Amino acid sequence: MMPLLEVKNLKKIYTTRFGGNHVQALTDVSFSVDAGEYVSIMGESGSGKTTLLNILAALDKPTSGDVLLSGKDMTKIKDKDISAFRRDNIGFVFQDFNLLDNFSIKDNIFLPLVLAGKNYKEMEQRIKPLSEKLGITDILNKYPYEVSGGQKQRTAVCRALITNPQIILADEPTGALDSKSTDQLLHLFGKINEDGQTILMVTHSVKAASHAKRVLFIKDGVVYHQIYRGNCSYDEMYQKISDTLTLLTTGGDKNA
Amino acid sequence: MRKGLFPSLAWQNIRKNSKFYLPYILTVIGTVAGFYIVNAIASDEGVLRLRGAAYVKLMMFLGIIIIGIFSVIFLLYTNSFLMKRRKKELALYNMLGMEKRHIAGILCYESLYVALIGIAGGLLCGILLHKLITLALFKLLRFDVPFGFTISTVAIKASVILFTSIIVITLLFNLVGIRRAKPIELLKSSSAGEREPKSKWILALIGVLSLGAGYYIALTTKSAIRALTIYFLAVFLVIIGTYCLFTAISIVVLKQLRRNKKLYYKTKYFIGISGMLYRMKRNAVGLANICILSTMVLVMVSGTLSLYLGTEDMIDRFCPGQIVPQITINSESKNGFQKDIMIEKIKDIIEKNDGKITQFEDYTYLAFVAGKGENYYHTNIENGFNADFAQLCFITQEDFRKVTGKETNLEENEILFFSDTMKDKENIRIETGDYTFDFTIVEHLKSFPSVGNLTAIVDTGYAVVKDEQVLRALYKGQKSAYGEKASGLEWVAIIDTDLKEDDQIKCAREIGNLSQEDVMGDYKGLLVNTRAENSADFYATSGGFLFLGLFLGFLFNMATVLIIYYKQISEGYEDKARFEIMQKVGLPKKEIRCSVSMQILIVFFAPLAVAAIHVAFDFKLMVKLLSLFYLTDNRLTMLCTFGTLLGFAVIYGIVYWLTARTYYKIVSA
Repeated sequence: MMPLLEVKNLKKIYTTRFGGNHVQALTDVSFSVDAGEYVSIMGESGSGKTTLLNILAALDKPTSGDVLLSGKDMTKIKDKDISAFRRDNIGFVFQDFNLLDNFSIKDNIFLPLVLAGKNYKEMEQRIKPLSEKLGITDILNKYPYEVSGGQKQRTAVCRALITNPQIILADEPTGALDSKSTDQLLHLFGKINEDGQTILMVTHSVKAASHAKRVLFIKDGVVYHQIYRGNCSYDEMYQKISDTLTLLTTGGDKNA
Repeated sequence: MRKGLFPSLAWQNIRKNSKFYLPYILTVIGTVAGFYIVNAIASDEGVLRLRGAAYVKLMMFLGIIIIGIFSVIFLLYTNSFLMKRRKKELALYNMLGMEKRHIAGILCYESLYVALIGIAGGLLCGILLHKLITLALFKLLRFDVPFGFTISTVAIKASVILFTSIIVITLLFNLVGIRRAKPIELLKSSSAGEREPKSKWILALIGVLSLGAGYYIALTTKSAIRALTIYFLAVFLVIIGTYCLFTAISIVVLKQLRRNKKLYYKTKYFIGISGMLYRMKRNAVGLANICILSTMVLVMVSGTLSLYLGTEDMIDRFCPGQIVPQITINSESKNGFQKDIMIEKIKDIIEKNDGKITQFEDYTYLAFVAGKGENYYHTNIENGFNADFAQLCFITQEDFRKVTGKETNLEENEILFFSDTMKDKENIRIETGDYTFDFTIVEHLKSFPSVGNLTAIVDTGYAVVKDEQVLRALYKGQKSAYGEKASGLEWVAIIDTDLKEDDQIKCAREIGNLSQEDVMGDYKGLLVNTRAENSADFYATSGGFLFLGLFLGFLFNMATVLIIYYKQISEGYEDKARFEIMQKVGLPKKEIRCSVSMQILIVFFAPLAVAAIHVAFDFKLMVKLLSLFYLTDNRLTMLCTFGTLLGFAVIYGIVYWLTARTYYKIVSA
């Protein structure tokens, strides 16, 4: 079966404005994600995580390499179609929620549908089951400044899911949450994934990563290592990831 | 701290914040230059020696006061904008270990630089422009242009003192602000959640009512006197209405639009409506201010412009000939006024001065004030100033023919009539004390030539009657009602000669001296108007008005434009995050641009559009008020209003274009 997302030999070099300095953010990244998978990407600050996510989200273009989503090369999509492509195929969850404070929770969730030109009836039909699943039905008419961080993040998840995207991209989704909300959100992600939603999460929280089915490690712009959960419990997975990270740091030093 | 650090940091700050500082400094330069110029003209001794200079001086004095007050308010206002934007930067300095007194030091240096550049630049511009503007002013005033290039030390002193104090005051404000501020609050100040505006139905209702009432007054006021007394009430109502319109009505309307789900959840309106709600909440008062300021500018400029362009017409109405003697006659006296001898004497005087009469017309009229009923006029108006009173003016058909060339053949009880308010009547009755006159209106005239020095301050009815017999009967009638306060018959001559202006004035003086001789009988008064003298006074007044109108219009315009610019730019920084999110969720760049230009367009042109509506409703009132100045050319006033509006819109358009560009750059950076 063809993988849902295929990343091939991705390379990204940032050049300063006058072409003086080159910074290699991604050297050579290749991996693939099958439909229904739940993948975490881990790495330290400066390892190229954010660059990778931006390219996957079509917010940035790679210097070379391909990103295929369901066989379609995202790097080749024309600028004017990119927004529509993004909103139809990719759902986003950000660290700082990125909710618009002049819209109610409901309108925030509707935003991508409105941009896609859906009619109001359909929006209402879609939001009902989703908001119940995410436990935000009661706060739909409130505004972002009136609800808690966990509720904001669930709103953001709802906004990501409402377009029925092929893949959810999550950038440090637990970064701004307390531990209880973090647990709730990770539980939610597991549930969504069980329902068949593909999730790709970038994080440096071991706890968050331990909920994924597979964890990729990036270092110095390449995929360095990956581990599968298999039948491990969350705690065993947590231990495995910690060990790998330790190894990665010390091992990296030896290589350097 | 190192000694040279403050000045260099301060200079760097100004340069880094040039997006905000440049307009601010330009404002200082502009206001300083304006203040200097008006001051310099007011204190110019050369101007004061000219005819009509008293008016000019008064105008300039008015200008100094208005510009002074305006400068204080406006510079404080723009400064507060500037500081709001810079709070974060200053807080960061504080966090990084700079003490508040160090920040104060930097601010002092910044103010010093602003003061130096602003005042020096302003004075330089002022001195350079002074000559040019004096030339323009003299052209407007019809004064002879003096030679030479002057620098007014008085004006320089006044400008330096005023603007140094203003800048010191703003600095003090800023220092107090820094003293009170806590760095944590400063850093977070802009990220605080914005509560959604509430619908204020009562305020919206008040707004609709007061706007409606203001407009109603403007549309229904009939006479100029009434317009004068009621103008400020109308203005007051409209100002209240404008504030309510922008603060409450706009939000009520937007919220109603949002209720319409089918409309609201369309890409175009979704971002627009919620964006406007947000914008209106923070900007409503500012937009209302801009709207009122713009209305003021429009009314001021179009009013003074039509006054100026209509000056010739005004002079014609006020003084239709080069020399216009007017005598009030007591017709009952046995020793009556001997018209023919009077005319001979006048002709002698002109001939003695080597002049030739090119035109000589004379007529007699009677004018008095009367109460007004459905289709009659009466003289029972003891209870003073009443809205329903009118002015009546009578002239014989022979004199009417002399003035207009129109042949008529009226019977004793027949008249030709001209009145704004009695257009549909066939008969009118005039009850004057012991006598009652019933007239049949043979014809309603479309217009009526100016008569003597009558102004149409109140509703005026002009009637052409059969002959002097009727005129005298009417005179007797109103005499029996008013007694001592009764009007007399007025005899007016309109004389044109081939004399030079100075000789015309000399003749007029000599004619005036005829009042010492007894050929006139029991005259009540002899008044001799000359076109030359009136012309100078009229042009000095209307030119001075126009100059002030344009000058202040320009300054106010600069103010509104700058306020909008600042508002948009600072909003741009706040909107940036919002647009980033939308872009991530899938809003194409093209639609960002679209939505941005639509919102800016509304914010920009809503005040102008409302101002234009205000002016449209105000038009009738303005025409009435201008008639007090003998200006009755409505078409001219209309053209001037349109022209002003157009000019205003063009300036607006240019600034809109610049602002939208800067805004878009900020948002999409």
